[in-house]
Amino acid sequence: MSEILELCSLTKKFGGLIALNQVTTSIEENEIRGLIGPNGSGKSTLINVVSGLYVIDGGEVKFKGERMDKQKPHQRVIKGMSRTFQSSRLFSQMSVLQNVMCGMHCRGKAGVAGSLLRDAGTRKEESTFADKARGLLELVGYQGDGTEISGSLAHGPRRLVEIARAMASAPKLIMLDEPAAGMVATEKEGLVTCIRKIRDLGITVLLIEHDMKLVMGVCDRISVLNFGAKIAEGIPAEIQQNEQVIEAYLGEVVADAYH
Amino acid sequence: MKSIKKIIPILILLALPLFAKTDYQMYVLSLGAISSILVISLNYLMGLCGLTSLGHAAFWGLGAYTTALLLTRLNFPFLPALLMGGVVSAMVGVLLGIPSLKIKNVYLVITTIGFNQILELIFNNWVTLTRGADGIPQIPPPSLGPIIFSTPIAKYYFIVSVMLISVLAFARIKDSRVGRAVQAIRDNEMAAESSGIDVRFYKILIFTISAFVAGISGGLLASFIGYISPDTFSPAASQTIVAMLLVGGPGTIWGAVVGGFMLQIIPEWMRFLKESYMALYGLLVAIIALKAPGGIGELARTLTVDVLMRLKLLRTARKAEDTNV
Repeated sequence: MSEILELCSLTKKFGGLIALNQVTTSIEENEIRGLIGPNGSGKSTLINVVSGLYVIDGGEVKFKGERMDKQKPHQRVIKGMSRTFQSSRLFSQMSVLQNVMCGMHCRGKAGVAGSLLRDAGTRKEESTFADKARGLLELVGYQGDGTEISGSLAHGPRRLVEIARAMASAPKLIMLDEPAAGMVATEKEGLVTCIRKIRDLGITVLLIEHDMKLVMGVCDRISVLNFGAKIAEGIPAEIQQNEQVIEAYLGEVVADAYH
Repeated sequence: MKSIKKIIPILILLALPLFAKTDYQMYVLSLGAISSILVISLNYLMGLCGLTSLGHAAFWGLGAYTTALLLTRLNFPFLPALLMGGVVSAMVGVLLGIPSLKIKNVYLVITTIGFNQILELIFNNWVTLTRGADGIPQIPPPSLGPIIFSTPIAKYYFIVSVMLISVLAFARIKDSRVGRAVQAIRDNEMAAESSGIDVRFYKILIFTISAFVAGISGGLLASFIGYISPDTFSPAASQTIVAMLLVGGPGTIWGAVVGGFMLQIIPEWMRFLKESYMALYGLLVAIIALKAPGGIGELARTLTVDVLMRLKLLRTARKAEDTNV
């Protein structure tokens, strides 16, 4: 197994606050990696740094062996990274299907001329995009025909559409920032199935999640952050036994989740 | 059903001259069609990308002056002169697009006003080229090869054809890979770039397209009226364009057209108010903003849906009654 994402002494500061402190880890191809830690421990910052929204202050990000530090967010998507956001960031005035088709943008070719002339190539691209988008909505378990305006969706479906949109760029690595937040139990079960399906497609998953039962159940390995530093890493069983982790953050939650 | 909806506005546009009793009324209708193209151009920027420009009259002027100068000084044929008007305006559009990458919201609006003022000053003061406040007279009417559109009715139909092409182009861009990218930037810039959309490229692109269409509208204006002067392209004109897009409905296709026509026709109705008709404009914009934030275009859409729903309900109710009897 080769490593798809390597983070080497990753550091990010906001003024005097060190949001990420020398974080080093690597994620193997096709694993489901959990990223946990108390609020403000730097989980979302890590995803923002890896996806390129934040410029790093030190260390390096390597994706498929290639340095990513200088790449813009959209260039990283082209290379095969993709992400969702903690708070829903759908394109609210557009339909669900259009949202997912936006995710396919970088895999398409049609420019202004093609859009104006609607030549055979452009029409074909549009219909393949629409078909693929419907397929992805089905994959994530979205109920609906896709014509709904995404701003009018309830919380649960909205999260699913975000995952479908992130999947649309045909990523090798998908980073999910608290996808289960605000979901009800049945929706969470659907999410777990969806994450497993994504992995079965050969995609690596980096999952930030607060629901311990969900994280422990679905992840192959888990990394734990506290105050911006990595304090533990290992398979779920190890993490649950880890003194430091229990002390820092989990306490009885882990014990509850397991028994 | 869908195709009927598309044909109705076209039929209305083609039939409008039947209601015009005088040449002057034809003139106002043609100006309305030219304004519609201008409002459509702003619709690319504001409706699709969510960027507000209070300097669009500058692009209008760039197109008008370029076309006018090419026609009067270099004896260009009409079509190349018109296209060059769009191209020159588009090139300046790229220049204004670059600061839009860094400058946001109200600061961008102020920048566009400043840009408009600079252009108006150039139109006024580069006397050797533009003849300053005297303006450029005797601009030849639109023509295609040997066909010269010199009568009011011929001019109207020519301008409406260009307008319909603009409407079609807008509709096609809106519903395409390019249009989706631009609308994604409008809805959430951060999510757009994280979805693989090159925000810088598309912002500059939409500025360019918008400026091109505004330039075309300006070129049409110059050759339609036959005379242009700098005061037509003042920041005050830019305000009216924005107002009419807001009234018509940003992002909607026919809303912009309605807005453009209203821009020209309302002042004619309001002649008796003299200069104070602007107050009525202001009131109209305020009412629309409060009561129908999507503008007339959105209002018409929801009303049609509403009526259709009611008709359907009525029909099902009647059917139920029939079966009962």
